[in-house]
Order: sequence, then structure tokens, then C-alpha cells
Amino acid sequence: MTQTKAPAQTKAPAQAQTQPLGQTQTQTQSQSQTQTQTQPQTIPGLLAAAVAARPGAPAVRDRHGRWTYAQLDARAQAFAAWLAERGVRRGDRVLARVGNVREFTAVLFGTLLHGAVLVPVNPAMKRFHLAPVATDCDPVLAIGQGADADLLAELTGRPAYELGTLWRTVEERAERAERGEDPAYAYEDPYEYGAPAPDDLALLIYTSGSTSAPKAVVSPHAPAVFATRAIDARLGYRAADKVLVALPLSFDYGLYQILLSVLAGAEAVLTEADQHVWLYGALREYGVTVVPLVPSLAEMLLRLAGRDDGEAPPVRLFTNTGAALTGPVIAGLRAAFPGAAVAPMYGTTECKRITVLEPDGDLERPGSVGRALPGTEVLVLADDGTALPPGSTGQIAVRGPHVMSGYWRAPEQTAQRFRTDPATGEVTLHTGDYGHLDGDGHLYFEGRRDDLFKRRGVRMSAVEIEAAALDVPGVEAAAVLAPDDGIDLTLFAVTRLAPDGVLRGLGERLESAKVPAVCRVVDALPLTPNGKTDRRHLRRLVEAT
Amino acid sequence: MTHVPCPWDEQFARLVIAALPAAARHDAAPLTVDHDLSQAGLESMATVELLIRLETAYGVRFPEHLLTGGTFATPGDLWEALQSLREDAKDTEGPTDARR
Repeated sequence: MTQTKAPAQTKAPAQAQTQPLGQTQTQTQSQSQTQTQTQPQTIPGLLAAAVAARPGAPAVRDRHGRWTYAQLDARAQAFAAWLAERGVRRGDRVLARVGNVREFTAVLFGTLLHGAVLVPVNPAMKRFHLAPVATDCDPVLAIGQGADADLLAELTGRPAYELGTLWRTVEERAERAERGEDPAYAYEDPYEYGAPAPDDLALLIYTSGSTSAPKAVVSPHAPAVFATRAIDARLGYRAADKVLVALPLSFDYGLYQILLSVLAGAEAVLTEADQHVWLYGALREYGVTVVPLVPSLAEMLLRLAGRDDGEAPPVRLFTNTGAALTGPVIAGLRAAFPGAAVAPMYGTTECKRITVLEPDGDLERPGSVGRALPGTEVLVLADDGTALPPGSTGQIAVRGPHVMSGYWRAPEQTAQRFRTDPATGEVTLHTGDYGHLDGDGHLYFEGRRDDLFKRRGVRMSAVEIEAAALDVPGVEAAAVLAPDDGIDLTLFAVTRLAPDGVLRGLGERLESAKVPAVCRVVDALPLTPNGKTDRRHLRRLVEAT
Repeated sequence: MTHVPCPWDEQFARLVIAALPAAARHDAAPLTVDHDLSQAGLESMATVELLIRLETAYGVRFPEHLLTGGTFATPGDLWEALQSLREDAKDTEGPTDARR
């Protein structure tokens, strides 16, 4: 197949494309170099270290089988060679719309090993969002599963390959390399291919839901590796761990499980949505010890645990980010999985992770999402940009080597969120989230800017109203829509109670200005593909009536 | 659409349709044996709820090997799995308590 030739690229196009940030990248590099002189600073470097340390240890499994670190490495190299043969060069984007299968991990490491950039896209994304993403990332080729490859070819205007078909070529090459007949990958050229530098672009991660236009966070190797290491310093993944990846690999929370698992030399256990009715059994069967959760997954797991009378799976650690688990869900997890710790976390794709609470730290500090990652700083800012003291609510801002390079080809949005100090060159990421710190630097998240509003002159947040609704016995889930455009404050609740009963319960818990005008009972809250409440969908429901 | 007569009872049809998103319920009724449930929007959490409701209603327990996407692919597949469990239950000690 011939491909449409991408425009000639010079070395490190990432920097050219995010020009305003060149200054920061230099600084980031010098910081991380002094900290981690001998440690790998690129994502393929993480895999190389794991392969060197434990080649025969299991690296990844899915429903079809399992690869050791040496096998994963051979397939990553074979995939990199496959890219080379298709004319892919350093800095080119490779769009992969692939489910939670082993091949994804080889595509990830192989693409990066070749010096190219991976754009993971959720297979659940509908055409309405996929079409702008497919052109925005400007890929040189795309990979999809089944008939989806044809859709990707149509939307990108570039060659698109079917994963199962292309994988036969990759697998054959990997097996030849394993027999010592051929090197799997032999493309090294400082300008064209291979051996990415820490500042080279690694990933474009499209963030879900917050704006109408697609927006990708530009992630070079160095901040991604720094973030992985910093998260691990708090959570402590172990070589013997089996790490569940039930979240989509296109979602950074899912994707980084691969990096964390490889850093620890552990095994990633990939599952797909249609397997989740067996999720509890799968945890036991595969001996899963670490389970990253969003609320919908946690609730499902608890329902399944409730109908099972076998031995509890050997889970030792639940982590949570994306959307916070409620108190009753955390308590339910502790009851159903004796011995498992729970680690609430908070982050944003723009710097991957902001805070991690030590496992079980919620027992002492309920509601906290933890302290800043080691080597990074969390600030709470007033509207004028000055730092606020502990206890005061303001915008959460972040500094450190984990702050990414900005938004892909969106200099204005980048400048708005990634603000560079003109004197020092230091970048402060403005998250758009609100919260406060306690005296020991533990962060308490209060909501998105959009979730904070005034009604009848009273300042309030969607989060506090939702928390009060969840406190009403019989309410299983709740989401609040702020007053907007003639529509008053509305509560959506999953409950067996009548709407009036829910509002009465809220009236007992909140001042009257904070009690929604309307409560709508729904079967389930609509979710984005990443498991967060889909507020735009809720807004449409309200507008439709 | 299929011409196979629907083998199930009314309770089964009601539970399956209730598990679908509101927008898909109208198209799913009356339920046919080969209706693609995943296409109709049966998501993982709803599948789990449906599993638990069926187990409670029919006094059976789905063993692990039946907890697959295939079991929940169509109403026909699901009814077949449910029937096999009810027969097993009859063969042994009569209707068993599905819950502890």
C-alpha cells in the first residue's frame, strides 16, 4: 500500500509545534536529568529496563493469551519495523483505535521506539467526535479493528490497517527474531527513526467532554516517565502485582497502568467491557492485586461481589481517579475485599496526575485527594493569580516536571492553561478546578469551575449538593446541573425514592437556596466513555423537556 | 426479524427490556430471539443488574462459565442459558436459593 507522504519533518517536530513552550522544555529536562541521571527517561526505556531485569516474567495478558516481557519487546520491535516499512518517521502520528488487547501494548511501545507519536482513540467514540479527532491529529496512518479500519480510512484520508490482519505480519517477524533469524527492528537514524529523546513527543491524548472541539494534550516522554515514577513512589506497585486494566487504554488512567506495571515489572491484565459481567471471577482467576477504579466500575464490582459466595479475590490496592468514589462505595469495597487498601487520587491529563493520597489515607483524611506528587507543587490561587493560604478555596494550579507541553496545535488554549512566568520561564498549569489545601498540603477537590455557581446570591458547588443527595438513604447516584439559560438547578438521581422524597431529604441537609427546584429520577446516570458523568447529555435531557 | 416464536415468559421479556436504555426500549418490544442486545445499548452495569434480577426472579445462579458476552448477546442466548440452569436446578434439589 502506498501512503500519502507526510510533509517533510525535521528532528523533534514536537518542539516546533509547541513553540511557545520551548523554554520550559529545556528547564524540565535539566530538572529531571539531575534527579534521574541513570534511570530511563523515555517510555521505551521503561520497557527496556523491565526486559533486562525480568525477560521471562509475564508482562501482559488478555482473554486470548499472555506475553512475557521478552515477548512483548519482540512484538513492539516487530511493530516498529512494520511502521518503518510503511514510511513512518520520527514525529509522525499513528492513530490507534484499538480495544483492551495485548496488541495495543506492543503498538504503544513499538510506535514510541520508532520515534513516532501514538494517538490512542477510544473504540466507543462515536463518529460525531471521531471525525474531528481523525483530522486534528493529522496521522500518517491509522489502525482499527474489523470494519472500523474502513471508517478510519474515510475519516483520516490516510491508509488505515485492520489490526488482526497486520498483526499476522508483526507476529511472524517477532517469531523470526525470537528464533534469531532476523533482528526485529534495525532502524536507527537520529533524524529519521528510532531512539526517541526525552523531549520528543510521545503521546497525543484527546480529553473527553469538556469542550466542543477536540483537544489533545501533547505529552513528551520525559513528563510521562516522570509522572509514572512519581505516582509509583506513592503507590508502590510491586513486581508480583497483577494490575487490572478494565478502563479504556485510550483514557490516560488506563494507559498509565501499562507504564506503571512495566516500571514495576508487574503484569497488566487487560479486560474489555463485554467481559465485565465476569469481572469479579476474573479478578480471582487471574489473581489480580491492583484495581484502578472509576465509580461505575466500582459499583459494578460491588454488585458482583454481593452475589458471589466464593473466596474474595486477592486485591491489595484499589486506586481511584477520574471521578471520586463516594464514601459508601469505599466502605463497600473495604467490606467486600478485606485487606485491600484504597488510594484516592486526583489528576488531569495536562500533567497526568496532581495528587495521590497514601493507600488508606482516606481513613484519617476523608474527602482528601492527597498531597502533590513528590518533586511537584500544588497551589491554590485567588482570581488575581496570587497563592492562597491553607483553608481558602481557589483554583488548583500545578508546577513540576510532569506538566505536559500544552494542547496540540492550539496555542491560544495552551497559553490560557499553561501559563509561563515571563521572568523565570516556569510554567504553572491552571487546571480550572477548585479546591483547598489543609495545613499539611493535602488537597480537597471541590469541583470544576463550571460546577461552582451562585443561586439566590449563595455560592455553591455541584459537588456539595451531590454529596448531600447521596447522604439521603435510598439515593444510589446523583448529578446536579447548575442553573443556566432559564433552567433552574436540577438534580438527577438514581433511586427508588420518589422525586419529592429526594428533595425533602435534601431540604433537611442543605439551606434552601441549595435545594434543587427539580429532581428527575433516572435508571442510570449517562457516562462518557471514560466513566465520568456526561453532563452535556444531562443538559440535553433537560433542554428536551 | 425472526419468525421463531418467542419461547420465554412475560417476566423474562419485562426484565430484559427494562435493562435497556429508555431510548432503545420501544424498538426492542416485542422482544425477538435474535435482537442484538449490545447494539441496543445493554451496557456492562445494566448487564450485571439484569444478571442479578434474573437470578433472584428464577431462583438460579449463573456459574462463571456462563458469565460471558455470549450469554447476554441476544434474548435467545440468554433464555437458553437460563433454561439450562432451571433444568439443572430441577434435576437436583428443586428450586434452589440463588442468594446466600
